[in-house]
Amino acid sequence: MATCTRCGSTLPDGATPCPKCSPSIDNSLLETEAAPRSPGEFVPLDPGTVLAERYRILALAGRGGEGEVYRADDLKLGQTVAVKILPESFRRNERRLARLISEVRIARRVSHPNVCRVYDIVESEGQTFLTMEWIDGESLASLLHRKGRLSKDTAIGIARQVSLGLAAAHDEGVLHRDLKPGNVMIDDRGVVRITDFGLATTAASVRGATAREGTPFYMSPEQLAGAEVTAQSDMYALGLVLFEVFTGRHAFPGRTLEEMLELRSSPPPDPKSLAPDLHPAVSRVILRCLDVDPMRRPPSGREVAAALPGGARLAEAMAFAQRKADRISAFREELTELRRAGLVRLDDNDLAAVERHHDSELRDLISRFDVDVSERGKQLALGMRVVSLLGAIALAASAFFFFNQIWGVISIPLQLGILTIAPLAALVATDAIAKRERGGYFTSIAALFAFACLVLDQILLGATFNQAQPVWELLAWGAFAMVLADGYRLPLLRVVGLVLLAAFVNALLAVRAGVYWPNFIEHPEGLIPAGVLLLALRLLVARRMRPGFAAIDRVLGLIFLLFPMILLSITGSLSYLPFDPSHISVGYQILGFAVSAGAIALGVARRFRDFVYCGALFFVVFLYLKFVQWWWDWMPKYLFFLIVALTAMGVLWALKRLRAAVTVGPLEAES
Amino acid sequence: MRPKSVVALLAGCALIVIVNAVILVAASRNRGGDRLAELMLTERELAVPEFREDESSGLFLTFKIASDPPPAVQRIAWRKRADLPSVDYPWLDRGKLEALGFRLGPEASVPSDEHAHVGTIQRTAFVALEFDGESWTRWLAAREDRLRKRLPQDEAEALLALDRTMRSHLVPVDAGRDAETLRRRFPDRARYLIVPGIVRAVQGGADAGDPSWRGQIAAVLVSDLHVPRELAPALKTFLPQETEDAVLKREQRERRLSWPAATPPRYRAVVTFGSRNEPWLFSVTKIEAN
Repeated sequence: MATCTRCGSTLPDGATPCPKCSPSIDNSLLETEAAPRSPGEFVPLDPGTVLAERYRILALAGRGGEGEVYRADDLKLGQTVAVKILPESFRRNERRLARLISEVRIARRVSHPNVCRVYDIVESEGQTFLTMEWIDGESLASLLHRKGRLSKDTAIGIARQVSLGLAAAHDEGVLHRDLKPGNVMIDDRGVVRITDFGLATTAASVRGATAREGTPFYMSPEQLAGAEVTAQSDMYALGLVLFEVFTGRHAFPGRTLEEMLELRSSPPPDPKSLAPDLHPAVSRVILRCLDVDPMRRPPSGREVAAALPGGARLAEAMAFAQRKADRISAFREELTELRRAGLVRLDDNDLAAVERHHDSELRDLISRFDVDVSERGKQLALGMRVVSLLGAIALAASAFFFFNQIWGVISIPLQLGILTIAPLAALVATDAIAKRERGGYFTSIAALFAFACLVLDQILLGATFNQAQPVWELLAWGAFAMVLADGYRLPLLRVVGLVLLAAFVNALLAVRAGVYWPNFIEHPEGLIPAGVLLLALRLLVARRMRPGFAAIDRVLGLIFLLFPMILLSITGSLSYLPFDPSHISVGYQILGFAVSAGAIALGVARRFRDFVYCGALFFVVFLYLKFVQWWWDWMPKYLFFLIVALTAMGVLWALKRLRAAVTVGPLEAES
Repeated sequence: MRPKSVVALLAGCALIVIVNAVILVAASRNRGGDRLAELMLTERELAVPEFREDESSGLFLTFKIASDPPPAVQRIAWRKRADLPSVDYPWLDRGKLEALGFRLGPEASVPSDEHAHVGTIQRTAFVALEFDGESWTRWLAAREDRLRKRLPQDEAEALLALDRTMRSHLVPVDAGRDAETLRRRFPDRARYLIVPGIVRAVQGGADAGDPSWRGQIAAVLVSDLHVPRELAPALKTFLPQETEDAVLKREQRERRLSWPAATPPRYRAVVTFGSRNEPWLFSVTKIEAN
């Protein structure tokens, strides 16, 4: 008896094609190639049999060329596991067994919600078996057989999860080599897991075939030809699986190995020709996966996931996902405390149900958004951000010193060429890296480098032609930083871009007032209109702006608005306004109080945590400045600082009351 | 709809191309249009860098006007804690500053910080510079008078020798908000430069305790002139051999307090100003010692 890996149904003995799904295909092409079994080798285990004094067999779940899979109870941990009994031939061949152990060791490194976990390899009482995560669900092959073509949303969800699972395996250096619908399981919550990692390789090595391993029907051309097999071969198999998921049909319905080899040497049919309503992005990425040239296939499953519809919104949702993960972690900690204090009593079943629900949610968040679920993870992620920033600064400095070094020895046309090409090349590199990376660390380095190259380009070109620095440089730099930030979701460049654009507005006012624009810093009043503009855009037309940057925009808007007010409230003569400087100071003091109090009120009303914090900070600064102005000179210092301390306590009390008043709906930083 | 990264890629590339195009078109228009001035200056007005720079192969000459002391003099003055008297431009008075757009506070007997910033203390303006004319003679006479009054004779003589030999002969003679008006007043394009610069308003001017508002030429906007690769060999022999670090260490070791020796200019340079008032170096020739 064998199982059709396409539809999961049991096949009659022999090489009869699956009568349900592939009547014209040689059945052997649908099965993982494995060593032939001697007749009578398979003796099914009886339910209740206990292996290695730990695993109690419950039922036979499936059987294929590589062994039998049983559902079993892990008596030690009290959970259901899958036990895969390996054929006798494994145990007899020491080299093969050693290689299997080595591959299981590698496969165990892959920890991803879309990859079936391999727990252990056990040799006991003449049996060699693997224990794995038990997945209560259905294989993709069976689902495809049952439903034919899947709905758009289901197909995208499955495709994304399979792609991410494969990417996680490749990240750990693990090649699947046997990716096919029969090795993709979907549990009852819709979570997809790739199963049977590394086993096909082991089976093939035992048989002696170095490359033509796995299931011929899902093999890449290079695999079928017996050439070198790499992660790109898995990408080809992924393309074949996605082709079926989105069209309900196989890309190359060849009947024999030779036929398949011949068909794979040419491009597959456009999936859109079989499913005209297919999204063009899906069609494109499948065809890229099925490129005959391995180098032209997508480099990672992550890129495939990102190219699927909705992939671009993925990172935007990452901030939401991270907060959700944080809430779950905080809830767990709080629940532990409450239970310890005896304030909450939950029976074990309820607690386990909540735990399971949260575990499942966290797994989903990790798989879809790469969230950090522990403080350590977050610290590492923050560390990586800091390192990427340092790397970017160092790279920009390197570019600067390189240009400085070669400047005088090259002709002006060559200077022009290098200066123009450098930011263009860096931009193209940023785009290429962004397509391959999810975390954005290297993208950030490349983007900051591209930005530094443009700044260098403008400064050096201007210097070559002895041009005075034009004010529009700030606009060009700011616009470039904003384009990079928006296109590749880079918060740091958003900050840089906004600061430069605000500086441009400030510099324009300085130029109008006759000030040399690089000295605009001496006249901060021009930042106020920039702050008003930014806040108006963010608060009034927020829906059209990238939501992930809302907090940055709001905080910078308030800083642009309130920081100059502080300076002008101290020195009114910095103002452009034609009034007495002392009157200007008083005016800005009143305005500063009003705006910072307004920011707190608006923050509370709209639940912008950042607005409340920023407004409160500026309010206190204005208050202290006023104290200094009023009392510093004549009041004894001990009294002055006592008043400052008492005021701080008063502000704390007021904020505490405010917080208590809004606790019904806690403040949230909208992303 | 295109993914945002594609839009970013296209927009970024477009921005880079536009930025470069704007700079190149501006340079082309400057050099292709009317020449606003062409002067033959010397090392006094266009100085080579003071120190050798190991990590920079580019070469720039620095524009100097009469009020800029030679850097070596400045360094020794700082070490000697000498308060070198500066020379004001009499024409850059309160009336001229207000004509340039400054809003000046009252002339109190003690300069007030509060009023120092009124209406901005720096403004951009076009500055007319006269090269090697009567203004230079007058400026030098005023300087001589001031040095002799304020310093011991030997110090004053040493500094005057340096001024006569090494000071820039470019003297600011007027400033205004419109370059063309200034050019009409000073039409000789081989003697007068009209350049954008920064004028600073200070209270007190050259004389401590003087409450009146005075103006200073804080900077010329294009202060460094790029030396094209083909002209760099002509300047090679005039470039310094020591790095800044080496010079400072040597002077500290020698505890040097004497003024540097006056060295006459070693080269002439022809500078052309194009239609956008952007200069470029046209030629460099060595001045043969007599």
